Amino acid sequence: MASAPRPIYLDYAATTPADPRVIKEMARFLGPDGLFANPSSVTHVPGRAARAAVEDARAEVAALVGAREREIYFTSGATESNNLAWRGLAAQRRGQGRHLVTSRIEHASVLDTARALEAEGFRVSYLPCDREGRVDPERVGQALTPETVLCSVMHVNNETGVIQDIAAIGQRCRARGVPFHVDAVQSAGKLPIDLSVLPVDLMSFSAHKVYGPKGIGALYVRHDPTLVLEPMIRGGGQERGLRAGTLATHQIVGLGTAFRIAREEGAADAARIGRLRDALWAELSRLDRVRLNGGGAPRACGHLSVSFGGVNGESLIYFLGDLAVAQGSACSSARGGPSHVLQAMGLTATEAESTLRITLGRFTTAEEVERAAFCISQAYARLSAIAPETTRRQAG
Amino acid sequence: MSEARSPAWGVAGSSPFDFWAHNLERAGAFEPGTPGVHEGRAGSPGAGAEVEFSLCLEAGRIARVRYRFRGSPWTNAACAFYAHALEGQPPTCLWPTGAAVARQLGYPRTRYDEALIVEDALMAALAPLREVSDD
Repeated sequence: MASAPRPIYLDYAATTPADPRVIKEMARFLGPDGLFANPSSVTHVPGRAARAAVEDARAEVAALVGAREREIYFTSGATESNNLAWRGLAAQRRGQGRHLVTSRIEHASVLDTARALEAEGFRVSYLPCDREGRVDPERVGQALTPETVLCSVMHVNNETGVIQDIAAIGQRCRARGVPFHVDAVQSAGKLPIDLSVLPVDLMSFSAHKVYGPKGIGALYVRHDPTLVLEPMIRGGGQERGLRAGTLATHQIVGLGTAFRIAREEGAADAARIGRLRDALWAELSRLDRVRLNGGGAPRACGHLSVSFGGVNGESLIYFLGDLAVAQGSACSSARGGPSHVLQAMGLTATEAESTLRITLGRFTTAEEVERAAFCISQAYARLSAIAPETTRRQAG
Repeated sequence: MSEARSPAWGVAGSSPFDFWAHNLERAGAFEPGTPGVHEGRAGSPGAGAEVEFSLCLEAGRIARVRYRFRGSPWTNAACAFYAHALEGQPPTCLWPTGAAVARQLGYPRTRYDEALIVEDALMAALAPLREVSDD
């Protein structure tokens, strides 16, 4: 009996499957015959072996982004990294100022933290973006004040894939002596990052966006000059006192392996994925009333944010069957409502609701892209045909 | 006025919502010029859903129903549910409220408004017919 075709997964911005090489490496650190010991138990050989694996992984993370090993701290993921960067610095510098700068298009883990800090007495400036989703570095510079203790702008937007000019923004921050944090969850492993030259002080990473496991991430903290953060989790003094808790060796090894593969193969991956992404857009752009959001700006290789005029994105997804795409970010989908990113770019709530986020990745094939284009075109045509007259007139 | 018979609303299926949300059998419009068609609409782009119902009357009964919508699968589920249930009924039939449909199909509370918009469109289409019947 023929098996059903595998669902087409085009939601790589939400999460990626772990690379089989990552899974194989992680498995070595779990079982009774493996290197399962606590990496803090350096009094015995298994513990030291686990510790060595953790430090090897740290070196891999550092190597991908041009950092020094001691500037990398393991966390439970990018949400924790973002929280630690914001809260850790805000708490440390509370006496110096109570102003923070970010953009309106950040991930919820940044925006929610910003709002929580506002409730604690901080003032936050939320900078706009243009219609292509770009944050103007000049406006960032203008927003900085002597009271500003942190500026935070993401590298690649998780919904549109638009790349921010973090070098230019970082220069403005450095000129004003303001620490600069970058959420690099969607860019690490996809774009070249060299922290030895970039004027960035804090950078957040996640493993599961780079074909590693969920539940592990890292925060880069510049050591020259040394940036001091207040820990959020206290306990055993792990991660040089910044982030307590038993180190999850297998997760950390998974992160390190994923970042090593990204360093070795990321450029070739990005080129191939970019070609597939462009091929998919070439097909979708033939449809009536479609719009590529952020299409006029530099974008990461795998992203397509496409508005399908006159139909509801949720229904479009519903009728795509075994095609896994998103309406917005996974996190904003969970809370519902039109995308704050697309609305910041000037789309109406209705336009934002008519948008799909399609993201390709390492395991996407040309055949899947062809099938996806066909499925989306069919579903869009069907829903367009049964849209009310008023909607069709407005969309037309 | 004779008492209207309530349509049979129940439909077999393991997941009523999925059954109706996937059902586009009556989605669309009648051929232009089809006689006996009565229309009603509700919702707006800002409301999150827009619905247009078209009811084709034959021999005093709703013979066929078509609808157009822009909205989520929750909108379509309510449209498809009502459209199926109304066929063969007199315009004076008792139909369940949008909230009742939402409850029956297992809508989360935050989605009830979409069933209410569907009900409003249906009421707009039925209102003139019910006035005539009530006379």
